[in-house]
Amino acid sequence: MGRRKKSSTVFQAMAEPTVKAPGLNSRMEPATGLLVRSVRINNNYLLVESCDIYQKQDIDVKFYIQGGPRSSVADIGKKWVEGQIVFKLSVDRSGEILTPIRDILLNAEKPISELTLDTNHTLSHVNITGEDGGFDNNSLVSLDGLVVKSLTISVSPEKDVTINCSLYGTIDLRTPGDYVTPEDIPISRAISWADCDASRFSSAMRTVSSMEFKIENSIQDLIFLTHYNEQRNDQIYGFGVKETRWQGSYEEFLRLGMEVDNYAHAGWKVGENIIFDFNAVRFLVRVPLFFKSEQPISSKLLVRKSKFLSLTSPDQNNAQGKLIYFAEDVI
Amino acid sequence: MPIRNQLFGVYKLLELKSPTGSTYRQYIAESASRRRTMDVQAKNYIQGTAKSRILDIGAISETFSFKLPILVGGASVMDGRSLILDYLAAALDETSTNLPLITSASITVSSEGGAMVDVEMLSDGLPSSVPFRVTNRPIDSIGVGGVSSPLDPINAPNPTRVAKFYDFRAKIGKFVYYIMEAKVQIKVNTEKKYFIAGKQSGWGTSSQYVNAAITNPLKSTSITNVDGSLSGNNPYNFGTQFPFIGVSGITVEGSGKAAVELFDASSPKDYDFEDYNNSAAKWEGVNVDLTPDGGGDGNNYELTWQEPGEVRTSALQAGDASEAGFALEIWNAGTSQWDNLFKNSSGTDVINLSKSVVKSSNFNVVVGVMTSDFEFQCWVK
Repeated sequence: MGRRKKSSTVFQAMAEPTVKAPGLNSRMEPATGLLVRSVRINNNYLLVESCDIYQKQDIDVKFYIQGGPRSSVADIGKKWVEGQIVFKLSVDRSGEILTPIRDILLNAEKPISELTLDTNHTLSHVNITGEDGGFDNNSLVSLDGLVVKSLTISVSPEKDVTINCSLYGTIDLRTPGDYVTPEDIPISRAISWADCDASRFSSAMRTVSSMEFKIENSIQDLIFLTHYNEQRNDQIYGFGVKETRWQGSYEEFLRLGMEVDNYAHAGWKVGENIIFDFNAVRFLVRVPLFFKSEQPISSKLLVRKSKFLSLTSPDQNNAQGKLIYFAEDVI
Repeated sequence: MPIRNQLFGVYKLLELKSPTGSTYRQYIAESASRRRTMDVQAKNYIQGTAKSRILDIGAISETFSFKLPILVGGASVMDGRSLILDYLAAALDETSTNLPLITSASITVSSEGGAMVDVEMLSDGLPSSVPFRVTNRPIDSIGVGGVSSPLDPINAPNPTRVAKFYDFRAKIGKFVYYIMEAKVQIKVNTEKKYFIAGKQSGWGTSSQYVNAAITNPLKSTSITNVDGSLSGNNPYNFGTQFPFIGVSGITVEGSGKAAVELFDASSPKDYDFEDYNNSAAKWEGVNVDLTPDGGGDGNNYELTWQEPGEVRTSALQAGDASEAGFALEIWNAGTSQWDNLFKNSSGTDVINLSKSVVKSSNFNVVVGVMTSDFEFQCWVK
């Protein structure tokens, strides 16, 4: 250990470190989310790889015939909440999928109710920005009006099953956030490649080398002129889900002995019953609508890429329209 | 020097001659155009040739078009709303003789696009009128409407911002909730008249194309104008191509778009949207009427259930007829209250549009937000 340089003052002069490196590296105390990388979904603890969900707002400046080119007129539009969380698919000691993950998956499949997300570091501003700008009046409030905009669950060899979930919404009730990291964190286990399986009617899919399922909910937000007897608000009034698109893809390496019928020439395949089995949760597509297979040639291992959409009943309250099956559900 | 900022309009200021006729007022605009035309047509007669040898040269027309934002904050004294209020008041003044004259104003307030004003104005084409000019006056050293340096975010009462959806509220007949867009169209009907000249004393010497003072046909002796003045630049312009302009009427109508909500509140569900939802105190269909009989009490609020001349409002539905049938209001950040969009800086409503009739509604079912497009006509007070 080197000896501390003797100095007449406790603090270093600003000039010295800023010459050596941009910014305030010499004085900053690096922060990390390692200790606080958990959120609460519907009041249940969820460990996440990352959480990038914030309030957002359309903010710009406008230019007119105004006597000069500099910006004098602000354009402050709607405010909403959007972002994504990334986490591992995990089960508890009894093999049950964790409750917050179950809530997220169900919301992705059928986004007709709101999710609540709490963190201890996502601040929100719930007054009208155009009249109360700046840095004060931020609040730690529950993000209580969220739906899943898109969800991707993917896995590949030697990796855990990872879920990337985009959320969209607003703040509804403005409930003060009271996030507290739980003292007793339940033991959980991340599902890995070794836990997974895939199959379809025409193939055991033994050569699958990666698979991914994606749910995309087309969301349209709503803003209106202020309702006549209600308070002004620059947040979006609400939103609706116009379309739900389910899409799967997988890659297979080619070797002798694999089934013949694995080069999709596109089109639907009734009763193909593709199952992506992530151990604690299975994704079942009864009628896939295949894209044409892609078969690139390379000097490395030959890998065929297949991708499909799901054709299903528009009303999901029946078996024909169901996508996600948990451990207790029978296919 | 390749830099030619003189070619760009952003460095310029738009100024209009004020309704008093003596000063100019600056406005912030997205675009402006001045259009001058003269009616010229070729005439062909039985003339021995097919070539145009005779031209019919008619009157001069001068019009202006402006597109202006509605602003909140210091520069709101220079926005489209201020322009409309100033010139609408002048158009309603019987004795006003100053140009330009507003002929139409279209105010569009939408949830996504903000607020924009399209204005059409008219003048007589007389060069000396100069109703419209473009200057390079330094905006930060002038005062407009009692506000000094209105675009300066430090000196002005507040920094300026574009008025957005949260700055407006509307009540248009039965349409109170989920209004996505409201458009008010004000039309100032004008007429141009050209008269055959009286006895002339020749062209004036100081003003090109302006007739000199004429003999008052009612007095037949001295050389005066009909208003008694001796000015050679007389405002009546007998015998010139510049018209007499008069205001013959003002009408206000508009249109809008509102989202339609359909919610089956019946228990058990009856799969229709014809009932009144007692718990939510509203019909199952909002902004549309799908009932075959106007609802259980015959009091649903579809257009076709209006009695002739009746204004159906949500207030009437609630039994309170004192509520206004029409309102389009903007938030006043200074007083923290809603103002009639047509209230001027003196607190006077230039026009009162408290009553309207919805005259059409179109229900659109699409993949996405269902909407009802509607049109209305206002009584103008």
